[in-house]
Amino acid sequence: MNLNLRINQKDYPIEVRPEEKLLGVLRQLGFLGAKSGGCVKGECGACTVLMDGNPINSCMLLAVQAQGHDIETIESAGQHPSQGWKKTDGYSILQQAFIESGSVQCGYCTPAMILAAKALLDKNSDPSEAEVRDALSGVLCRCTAYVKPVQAVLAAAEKIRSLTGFDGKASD
Amino acid sequence: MTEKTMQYKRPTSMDEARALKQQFGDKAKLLFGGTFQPKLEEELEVLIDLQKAGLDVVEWNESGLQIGGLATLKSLEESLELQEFSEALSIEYGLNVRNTLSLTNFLAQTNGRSPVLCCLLGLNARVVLLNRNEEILLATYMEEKTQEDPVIQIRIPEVLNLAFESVARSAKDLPIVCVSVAKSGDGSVHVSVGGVCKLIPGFTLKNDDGQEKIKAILANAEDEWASAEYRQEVGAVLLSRALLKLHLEAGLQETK
Repeated sequence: MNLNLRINQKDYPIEVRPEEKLLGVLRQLGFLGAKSGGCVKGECGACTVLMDGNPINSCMLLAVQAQGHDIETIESAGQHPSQGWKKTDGYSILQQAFIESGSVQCGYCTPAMILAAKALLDKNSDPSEAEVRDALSGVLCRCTAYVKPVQAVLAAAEKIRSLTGFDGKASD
Repeated sequence: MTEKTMQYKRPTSMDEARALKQQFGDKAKLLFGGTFQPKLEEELEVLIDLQKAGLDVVEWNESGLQIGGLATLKSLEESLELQEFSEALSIEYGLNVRNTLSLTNFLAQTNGRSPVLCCLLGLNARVVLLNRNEEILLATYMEEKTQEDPVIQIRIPEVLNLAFESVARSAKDLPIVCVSVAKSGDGSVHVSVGGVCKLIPGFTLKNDDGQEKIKAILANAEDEWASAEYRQEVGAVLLSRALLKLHLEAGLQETK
């Protein structure tokens, strides 16, 4: 079955088996964050990607169902997305905040955490702690007890507000 | 080889989808949005993806909310705008699943332990099934559900308010007992009880506090999680708290 998936604003024509999940296809295409897929039954959230701007578990969708939607992986988060996560020259504000706050321990959930946080901050640059916790609620972390990632997202939000001079929530 | 012969269709209406299903019969499978375990049988020849068939429509009218089966749990939450429903939802699912899991697939796999189902039953929800033109009570669907006849629409009558209470081993565990109480537009107060795999029948309050009724319906609610006696005691307390919440909220709304 031939598909055309739009990932990080680029089209990827690919042949897939109909039963293949989006997670597997992203792995085949070499997207690094998606290698973190863990439980493959929608519980751990390690395989999070953004679909049309919302965090989803890529193990819960067939790849064919993602056709026609915008998929965003962790590779889109750096300052130089084309260079990918490891090779990037610089980090996004969120990535930097995760590093500075010590949110990256084993690192397994980190790409998912950052994408989930990005989805929140793209819509709301002044979130409450409860809103941050809800935004991260789809991603399990067994190292940090969520304290550091929550601090990181709040710090990143503050930095985004200070850089943009925008202190409110995105209008509809 | 299944991968070479499988066709993928994305019909733009349910009429088109039904025609395709009729044409290919058992060799076609309908895809009802995001699910925990997308599984495809080997003999399938056609996948009919319903994501563009108009089954994710959300509509409010004089009789309440009508929401398509392919809408996600997140869409339902945003449509209802009930804080207590959101709390019940957050117990059961993180945001990723709420963004993905369709109502059809949620209802197909859920059981009486679900706090979300408890709220929907409290809200006196009705459902429309793929192969029936009439709506039936969600409780009836839960008793009789089959894979061949999934839910394609949920209808929730006008709701004034909803209160939800639960007890679990931890904040994000599925409840051992949960109670939802909803006040409808016609003034009636409907009670639903969950936390037990087997569906517990709900009831409507009629000039009483429901204490005896809730103990009666939980009389046999014993499983590996809790005894029936425990659930009876806790259920009665949760019902009192939920009713108090409902009345306090009603009082606040009147004050405003």
